[in-house]
Amino acid sequence: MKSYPFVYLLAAIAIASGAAVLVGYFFPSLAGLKGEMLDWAVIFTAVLLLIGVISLVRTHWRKIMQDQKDRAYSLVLIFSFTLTLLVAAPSGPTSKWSMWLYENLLIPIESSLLGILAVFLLYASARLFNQRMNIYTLLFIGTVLLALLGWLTIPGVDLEGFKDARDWLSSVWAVAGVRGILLGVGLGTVATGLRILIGADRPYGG
Amino acid sequence: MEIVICPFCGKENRAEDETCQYCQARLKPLRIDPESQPGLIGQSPGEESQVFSKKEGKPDSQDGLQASGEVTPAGKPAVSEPSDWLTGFRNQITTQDLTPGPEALDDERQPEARDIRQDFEAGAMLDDAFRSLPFENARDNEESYPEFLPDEPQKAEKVGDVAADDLAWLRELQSQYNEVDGLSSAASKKDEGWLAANELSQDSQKREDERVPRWVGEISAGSLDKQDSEAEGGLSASELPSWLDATRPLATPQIIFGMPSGYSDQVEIAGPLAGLPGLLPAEPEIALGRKAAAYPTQLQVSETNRIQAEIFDQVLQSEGQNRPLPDRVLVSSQKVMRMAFALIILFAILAPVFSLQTLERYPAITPVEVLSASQIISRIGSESPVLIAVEYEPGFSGELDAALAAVLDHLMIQGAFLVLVSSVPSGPMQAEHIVGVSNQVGPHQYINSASQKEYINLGYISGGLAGLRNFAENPRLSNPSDISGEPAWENPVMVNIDDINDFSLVIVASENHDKSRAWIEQTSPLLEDTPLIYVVSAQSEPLIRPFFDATPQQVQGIVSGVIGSVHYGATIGRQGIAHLYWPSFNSGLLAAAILIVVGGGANALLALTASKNGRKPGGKSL
Amino acid sequence: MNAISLAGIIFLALFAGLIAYFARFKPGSSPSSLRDIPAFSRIRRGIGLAVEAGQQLHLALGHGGIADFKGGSGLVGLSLLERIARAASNSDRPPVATSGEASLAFLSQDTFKSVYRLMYSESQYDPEAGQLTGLTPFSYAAGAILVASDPQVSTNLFSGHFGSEIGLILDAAEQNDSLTSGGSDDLQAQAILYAAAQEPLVGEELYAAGAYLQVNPYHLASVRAQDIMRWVLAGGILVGAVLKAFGLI
Repeated sequence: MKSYPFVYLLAAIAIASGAAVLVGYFFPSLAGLKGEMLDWAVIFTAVLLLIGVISLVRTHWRKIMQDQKDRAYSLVLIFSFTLTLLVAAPSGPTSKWSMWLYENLLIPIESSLLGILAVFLLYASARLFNQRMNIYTLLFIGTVLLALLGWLTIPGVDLEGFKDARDWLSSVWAVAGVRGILLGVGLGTVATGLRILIGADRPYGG
Repeated sequence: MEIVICPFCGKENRAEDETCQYCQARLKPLRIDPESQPGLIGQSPGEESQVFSKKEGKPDSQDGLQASGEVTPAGKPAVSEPSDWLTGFRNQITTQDLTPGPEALDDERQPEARDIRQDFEAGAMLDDAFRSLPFENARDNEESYPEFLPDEPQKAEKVGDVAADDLAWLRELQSQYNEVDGLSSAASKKDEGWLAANELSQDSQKREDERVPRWVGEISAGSLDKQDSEAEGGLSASELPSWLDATRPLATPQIIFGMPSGYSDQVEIAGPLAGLPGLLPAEPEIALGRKAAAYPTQLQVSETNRIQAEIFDQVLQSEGQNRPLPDRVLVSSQKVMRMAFALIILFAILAPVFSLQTLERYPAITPVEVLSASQIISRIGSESPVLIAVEYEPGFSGELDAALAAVLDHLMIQGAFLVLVSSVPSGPMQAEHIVGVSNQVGPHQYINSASQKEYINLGYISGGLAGLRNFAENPRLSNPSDISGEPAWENPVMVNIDDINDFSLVIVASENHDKSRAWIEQTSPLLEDTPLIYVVSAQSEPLIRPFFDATPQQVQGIVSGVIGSVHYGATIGRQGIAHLYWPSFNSGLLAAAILIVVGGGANALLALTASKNGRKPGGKSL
Repeated sequence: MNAISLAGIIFLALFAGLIAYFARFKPGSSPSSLRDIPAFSRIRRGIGLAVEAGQQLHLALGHGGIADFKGGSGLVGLSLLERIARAASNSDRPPVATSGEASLAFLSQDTFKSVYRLMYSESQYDPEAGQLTGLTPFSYAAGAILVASDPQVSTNLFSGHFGSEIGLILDAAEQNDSLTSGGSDDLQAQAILYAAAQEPLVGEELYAAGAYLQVNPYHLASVRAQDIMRWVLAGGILVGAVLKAFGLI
């Protein structure tokens, strides 16, 4: 069981590491320290990816062994993982059989999911009026229709006006809104980072 | 205002009240009318009287009793005016002694019994006065005068003569009843105190003995258990068999009847024994009618409390009940509508394939960002190293394969040396895939083999943004070998590359705005004169466009989605995959627009209908 | 140090100082002083209903990781997870967190563990409460769909970095008739959330989740500091635009 001194130690390590990288960005003399910390971060990220794979396999294996719900999907995952490992590990990820698996399984599966997503988004857009009947919904649907019509080409119908309107909407209104949202997201991200730097938030368990 | 404490409920009442306002107990005992019988004991002057009176066989004070709400039976004997000691005793009882004592615990539920007891206790003082009751007058009235009374009752001239009566029998009876009923010592003491106050002389006791029938004086607790065989004419008591004797009740009649003290002093007011004191009550005390206290029987609960109590009751009842999960509706309206939407889109996409409908009019005007990209690539020389970052997921292959294939096709025609890299785990395989797709489009075949290398796959860049920065600054250190493990930087084309600016062109293919922005942020400071072109999904084109429109430009060309690829093909005079997709793409767009208009209109109508009916929107929807 | 670095230091110092000031010297403010965001009311209510009805709460943390700019929304999701875990610790069905990145998955497990340790109920900790459902966005979505479509799940919250695949999880949750609410730092995900979720959080509303759900006083302080810094940035942009227009810079 973690004791309180250990929690403070974790916090001290987190704060020191974050401060070192931040200072390294502003003071070129400390850029070396920053680079070293970032290298360690890269290594840790790669190791975590590996551990994540092992954790994923272990979780699904436990599901199969304990006869839990949806264990059939876990079985498929374990089988696919094993097959891919056996095929790609000896000859590399871009070998003939690895590419066969990628092009004939992974791409069709994910493309199908995206296709389902397209239908769902279409249905959600049509249903939006019933969920939120206000001016913003009207603007949202109007913008969607404008974008669609701006791309269409129908023989005998001149839709260049829609295209110009779409370009104007995209380059002026959308970009302006995006900038504002991104600024806010940036501020939020900075605030989140600062809270961790001053020890107010401890997502590492403390 | 004088206040009287109710002996039963303890509440305050006005002195002039006859009964308690809260529990209806009598505050003042029933009294003999002093006007009809002067010398009435226990009545203070000016006090309204509820008394027994006997004048001409009719109760004289019946009106008085009726005035107080009491219905009086007829034939009540008259009583003389109360003496001072009785009056004082009454006052004492009224203000102090009538507060509920221990015995009142039982009597609280029988206020009327308590009332009667009060009356008896107070009226017990009338015993002496009773001795002076006009029995002669009663004898005149054959109907009312009890036959068993002596023929010559003495009439006391005034209360003071009561002292001449013998109260020994009374004391004896009193002690017997107190002993049997287990009455509290307080009541006994009170009675004893009253008795002590009314202690008569020996002479008066003797006179009482002479007047009271002998059989009355012989009444005792023990004598009730057995019969006087001599008085009955010489009959001897029979000996009961043991089994019959065992069935006899253990309780004495006094216990059954539960006669409290003071009952012996009660003067019978009706029937053939009217006027006689110390008689057994016709019904036991517990059977005496009593007026129930006026307590509210209905719990006062507000509407809110009632609703909350019902909810709480429902919650408690449902606590132990298993609620089965609602069965999923296999075919719901939402699922039907989704299926309908999917079928319509599918039909619109497949129709051009089967030549049911064609919309092969391609977009005419090429956007400037596409034109710029094609011009940049046209200037790329043979064997020039071009860095291509494949940053999109396999799911977006449909759109970005079409867009990137057109660009790669142009690069392959130019003879550029392709350097593929990715910060997405599946990117290296995607890069291999797109090269294969591009090989199928044009007359070129780019090969990566030991003998012939026309492109190289550097594999995966780990570390996210930091990894990108590292690669941009020092690609040799970041990715020293290609994906197959072979040294990557020994190729003659690659040998002069030290950082990202040494490439002739950098192309980033991404569906995600964040990945696109990451490349711009991490590589732009290092890209001095190397152009940067983006091949993006249509969903992120508006977000990358500002980088193209900015001054100085950070992105020199953009090819976005299927439509961008169609434009690009038009600029180089080649038709690629996008041209194959275009009719289906166009039909699908049109069908989507129609579905949004029709479906949105229908749902808007539903929402308006719901709001008119008072329901909130967001309920049933198509 | 150049001017940009200096400006950056001043910006960060001012931001941190404001957070510390509001947290230390003006902690009395409550979320009621903030503008009303109906999504958080429904989220609070959804948490309570899930606990009372013995149903499960699903928090999707996305696939953003913590090593780059995408980590901000993931860290907000972890704060949200801590708050939810505390509220639902005595529920019949404790909440479940799904993520598409290994570091987020481990941090979510660690968050559960620390919450249960604080509540002196460490025996209730289940490592599978923090699930890594996939390593790529679509595989993560495929795994999260299984969780979101569970009939026992009554509330689905999204807080992290998502792409377009969030629509698939929303579709599964919507078919399950569960409450869907949340936000992302990605604009495409925000657009999909706006169209498909019941209570979307647009823009930086996600970063105010800690303040509205009362994770700790520093969250409220940072929201107030963000409001001030937003005005500072807006003022700086306006001043810069004017100076640029007049050719001064």
